[in-house]
Amino acid sequence: MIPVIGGLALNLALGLSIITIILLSFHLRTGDNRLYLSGQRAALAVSLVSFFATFVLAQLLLSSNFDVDYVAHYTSLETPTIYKLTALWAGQAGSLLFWLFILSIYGVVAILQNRRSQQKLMPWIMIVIATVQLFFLILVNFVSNPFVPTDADFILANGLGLNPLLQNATMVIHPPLLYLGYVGFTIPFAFSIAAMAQQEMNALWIKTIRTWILFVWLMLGIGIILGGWWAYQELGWGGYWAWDPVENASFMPWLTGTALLHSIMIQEKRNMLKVWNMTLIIITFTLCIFGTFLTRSGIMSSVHSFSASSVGPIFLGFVFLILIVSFSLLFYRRAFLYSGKRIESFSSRESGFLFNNVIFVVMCFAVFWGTLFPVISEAIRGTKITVGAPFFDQINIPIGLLLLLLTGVGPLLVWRRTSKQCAIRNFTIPVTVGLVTALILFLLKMRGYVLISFSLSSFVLTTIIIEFAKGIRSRMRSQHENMLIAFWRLMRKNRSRYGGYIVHIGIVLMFVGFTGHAFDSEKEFGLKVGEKEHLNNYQFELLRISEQERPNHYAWIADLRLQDSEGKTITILQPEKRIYFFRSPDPDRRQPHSELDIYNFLNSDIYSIFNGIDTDKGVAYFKIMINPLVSWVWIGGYIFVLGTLISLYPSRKETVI
Amino acid sequence: MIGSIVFLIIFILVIVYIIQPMLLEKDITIENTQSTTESFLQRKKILYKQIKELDMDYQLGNVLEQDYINTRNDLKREVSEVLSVLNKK
Repeated sequence: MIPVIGGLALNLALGLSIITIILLSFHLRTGDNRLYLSGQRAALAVSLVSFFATFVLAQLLLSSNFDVDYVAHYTSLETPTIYKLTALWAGQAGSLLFWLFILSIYGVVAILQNRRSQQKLMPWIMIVIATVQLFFLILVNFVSNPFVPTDADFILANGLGLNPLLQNATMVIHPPLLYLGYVGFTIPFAFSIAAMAQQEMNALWIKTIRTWILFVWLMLGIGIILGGWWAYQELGWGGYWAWDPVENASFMPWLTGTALLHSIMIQEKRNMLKVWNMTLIIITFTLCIFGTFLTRSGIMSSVHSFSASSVGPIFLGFVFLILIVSFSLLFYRRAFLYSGKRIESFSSRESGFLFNNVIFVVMCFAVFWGTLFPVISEAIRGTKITVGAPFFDQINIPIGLLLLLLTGVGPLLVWRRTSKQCAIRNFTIPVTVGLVTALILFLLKMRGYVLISFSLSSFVLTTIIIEFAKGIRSRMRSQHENMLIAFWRLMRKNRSRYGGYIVHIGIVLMFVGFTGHAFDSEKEFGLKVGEKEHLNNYQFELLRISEQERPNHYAWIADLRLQDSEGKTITILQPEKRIYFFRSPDPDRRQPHSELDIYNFLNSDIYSIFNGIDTDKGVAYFKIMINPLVSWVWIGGYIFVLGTLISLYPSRKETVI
Repeated sequence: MIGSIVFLIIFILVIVYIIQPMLLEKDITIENTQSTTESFLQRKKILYKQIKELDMDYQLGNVLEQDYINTRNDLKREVSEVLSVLNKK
């Protein structure tokens, strides 16, 4: 009975989303405020009923109701409770419903928060949100319904269970955060369509949209970093980014979103670049839908799976619809969006931001092209040409380094015009530090991108440190504060500016981590208990192998003693070899999985993988990797989050000039 | 059975909730917290912030005196325009 209620709730939400669009469209035509109020209530009701449907599915998953096909496919009796809940977004139907669920949360917040201050725009905002909800409701009602009953004449005793790779703590929070980012861009998009339709784009609109963009950009950023962290911890290939289509799908809107965050500041301060910002918002939102399409359609594994997939063509149709409608409206309203203002000087912050925007968009296009090229080549020529990591690295490393350079240049430029004297004064020390770093690294026999990346990192860090130092010194002089108080108040009174600098520090540290990849080393070997192996300055000794039967898997656990060059024990690594679904009578259902153990130093990670075991010979096989500087990717990630939170925190006081 | 009753109740409540405003008078006005005024206040806030940032950049030695004076005057002019609009409201 409960699954039927879930299905009915989805039907009701579908009907309500159509009613919302009709009521608000008639309100816009007639000006009848009763229709507006009813439309607003219908919009809220769509979200509430969608919440209800999501809770029904969550309840079915938690109670292991195998009468429902989705539950039987993604959970089993052995699946731990937390992963039964995360199965909500493990499959296509559930993840589409989850998309709708997050959009409904955002929709309710956007409506309740802005229904008075943005009253003129609200009908259009609600229409756009309801249209996107309608699209997902069509999918979950007619194409990929999570409440479809099991197609079996008998009662299922157990489900198939969740993919072992998804049974990881990171997977509990990574997808929701990524979705919070993806889905969240619907709101700035709705605000933009509304602003163009109603020809109203004031300071309050910019403030609202900027806060939304910053928040959803942060969520997407954390989601991407956590995705990298999961890949590093779980997939066992020693890396965190492989330019996989699914990774690229999340990276593309993050790139255009980053460009947007910078260019919206120009609109806020100089009332310029409105057409460009609208374009970026449309592209970013479209990329979010496109990303969901890439992840969910199966297009990337083969064009043929795309033709077999029922959601693919619908998603693609929706993507084209968004592009056609949005850009037509943009063209129609071009006169309203044209500000007539021009950038005053090449050496201004506006100019720097615009340049970084172009680079971000170029990088996004490169990723887009590399991601889709195999599909396009297969569709046109019938042969699939694989575009691997070397292509993406070749294109994106130089672009990334250019962006790193701009991260340092930006803070040294001021709005409107930076004079030659000030530029020379501001750039002298950072450029000198960068060049000295380059010289030292050159003498240490480092070359190419490694040398450029470390030198640019030192240049950027110097610019930011100098900016902080100048600000603190200025406060210490003018306000007679000690250094700590001056630092605290400098941050508190200029959250947006210094929060941004902290984000830049995070990005620099991440670049340092990325560059460490050039020094990776690895070794594969077999060991019997008591035997030893060496890699670089470390020694690995197999102490013992134990076995454990756990609720959802069987595990062999190796105790590998890690010693330094002087024979001092650093730690005992415990990588595991697991067999999931080991109780299944069907041997094909049993899934082997290597659970890694990683020991983190600040300057490198010792990454141990238990590849397999030969029980007859008593030999265990391992792969050990030494990955320098990886920790800095995650430290940079934390700092990136901290900086964004500082920027997001609202300021309370208004200073009188 | 209980499930279908719960769903029926939800359905009826939702429909009543949506239809209720249609029973109000036709020329009903919606409470508006003067979004135009709020917008000008926000613009004023942004301009104040820009002046503050400019002052800071000047103190930090990032802007030459003449550029500082010109830009500050431009911003102050814009602030006074916004303030005159706000005073009229």
